[in-house]
Amino acid sequence: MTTAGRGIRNAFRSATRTVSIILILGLAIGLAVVMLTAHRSVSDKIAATLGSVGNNVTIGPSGYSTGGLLGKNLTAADLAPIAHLHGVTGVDESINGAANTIGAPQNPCPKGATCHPAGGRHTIKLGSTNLKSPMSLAARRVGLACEPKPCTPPVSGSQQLYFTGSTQPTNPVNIGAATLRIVSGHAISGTTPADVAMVSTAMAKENGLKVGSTFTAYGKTFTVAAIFETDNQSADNTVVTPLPVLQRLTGDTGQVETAVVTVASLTELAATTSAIEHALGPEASVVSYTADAEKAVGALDGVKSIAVYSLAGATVAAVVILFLVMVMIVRERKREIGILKAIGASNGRIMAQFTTEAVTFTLLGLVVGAVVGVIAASPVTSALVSNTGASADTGTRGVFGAASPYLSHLTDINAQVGWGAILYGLAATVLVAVLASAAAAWMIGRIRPAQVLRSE
Amino acid sequence: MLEAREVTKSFRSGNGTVTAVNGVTMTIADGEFVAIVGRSGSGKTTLMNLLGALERPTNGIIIADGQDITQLSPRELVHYRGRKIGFVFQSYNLVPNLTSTENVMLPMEFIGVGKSERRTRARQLLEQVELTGAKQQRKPGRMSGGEQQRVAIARALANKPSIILADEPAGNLDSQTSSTIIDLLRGLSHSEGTTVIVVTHDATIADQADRMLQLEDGRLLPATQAAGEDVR
Repeated sequence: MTTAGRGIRNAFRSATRTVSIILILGLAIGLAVVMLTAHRSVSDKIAATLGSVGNNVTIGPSGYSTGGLLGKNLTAADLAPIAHLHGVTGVDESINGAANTIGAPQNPCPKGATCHPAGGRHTIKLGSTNLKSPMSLAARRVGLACEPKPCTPPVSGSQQLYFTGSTQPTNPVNIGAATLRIVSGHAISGTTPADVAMVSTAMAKENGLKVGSTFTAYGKTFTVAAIFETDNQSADNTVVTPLPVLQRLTGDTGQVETAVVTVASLTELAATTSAIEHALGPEASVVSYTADAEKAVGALDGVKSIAVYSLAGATVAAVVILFLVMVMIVRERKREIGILKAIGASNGRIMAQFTTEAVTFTLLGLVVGAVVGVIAASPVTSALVSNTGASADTGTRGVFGAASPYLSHLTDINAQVGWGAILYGLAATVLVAVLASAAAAWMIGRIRPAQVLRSE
Repeated sequence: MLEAREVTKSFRSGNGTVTAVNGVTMTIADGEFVAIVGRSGSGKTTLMNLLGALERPTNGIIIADGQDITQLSPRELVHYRGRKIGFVFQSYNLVPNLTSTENVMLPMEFIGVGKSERRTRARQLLEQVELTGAKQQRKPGRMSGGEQQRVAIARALANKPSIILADEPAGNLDSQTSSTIIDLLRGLSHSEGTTVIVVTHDATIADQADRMLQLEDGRLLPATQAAGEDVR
């Protein structure tokens, strides 16, 4: 039997004590694994959220950012200088419309008023279409409002589909999503005058559409060029067309409701935003989602702090537990250590034996801790997130009175114990064992065999 | 040969100093079977610990096989104890969760003997002390006192030491088992040429030694050995 073999065997010398030590250590290590997993999950979410917000600046008519009365739409000519500003790498212009489904009651906007979804500020250019909405009835009960008040809003928006014309039809921001993936066909060009469109998989399924199928809207026949998927169910109710097509059909040729400007880097975002504001003057609202996102993820930063402190606390607890256990064991086996020294064992060899015993305890504790972590990581992370106010911020309406698509899933955190957490746990376990064994080693070094054997 | 010259060992005790061994000078020849006797507190065990390099003397030198062990470094002392000395204790002091064979293998592991060689020699030694078969795989808790002391003797012999130091080796045994153990030690002394030093307060055991050294208040007194020689 080797030194390590004796250390492992000694860990099982007393079954009751071994089980107790492993359970206590396992709970401490489990808490550490849970907190490590929560920290990583929240960090990943924050990075993904800020990353998805990206380096974008959104431009709309005056009044968009405050939710007040809207100014005039911008024009392509207004926006032309933006593309040449320092730091700007792209400008995506878009315009929105809506169409009543055929057979549904027509809900015209009152004469002289502009209509928009309740809680939002997008002007609605009402048309009609032969498409059916893929949204459930409950999901479609959005409701409409009109400006300027007093005015009588349309009865219901429940039977409407939305249209978005964009120079970059695959930009998910235009339809209120964080991601957009073409699953069939090819993305349309944002500048073509052809009556082509992209529809969601839900819309295609509801209406039996495939790539090459046709439908009618605003009195024109559209050909489905692509079918897409997004991360936001409400985006399924939107049809994407080239910008000039929707401008023509809504009678807003040359006009732009919103423009999303891509900036080269986050560090240039503030300066470029100022430059855009300066270039467009008071007729435009220039907003970056970054501020919203940073405010929203601030609550998650709190979760990170809690996780870090809890992780440190759990690790210290594990060290203290094992430290006390090892001190107790060494005191209990002083005589045996004296014998080993008397028959020729060096201090180093005896220390190695006790360190192996400590490592055995912690490795078994890690197994228990990993099980605890797998079971508890997700619910504990969810509880931490929901108790820090992150949920409330998720519901915050973003710029232009609409919920930011970037922040819509902020609290949907997938906290699972991965191999990374296990490997970190393994490294921490060995560290804990070595630290806790240091006291034992010091005590072993001080044991004089003659002294302990004298007490016979 | 083992030689002590004016060896003194003092301990601090409360406000004063206690001298447990006081100017002991003696020479023990190779293969000799020596008994150190004395009353409780006479310094027998302290002297044995000094000879076994478990403690350093306050004064004086101890020479084992021509080497002054009082000048050895801690590392060299571990080496000295592992190779030159075999200990046998009154309470046997076996490692409770190791089998007889594993207990005997232990000192050999500390000096780097290979596993298979350790196992073979451990079995031979256990047979030599008349522990065979299943008893070689028993743990101390399932053995009698006499059997445990046999294992302890086998362990003391594991590294073929030149000196065996036995502190009250029969103190916990009945008279018959005690006699067997002492016979075993004396036999080893004579057959293997191993120096055996037995610390005891039992006159019956001391009488079986080649020579008897008597300690009183830490000093070695003139004593009579079996052959009737002076000890100083």
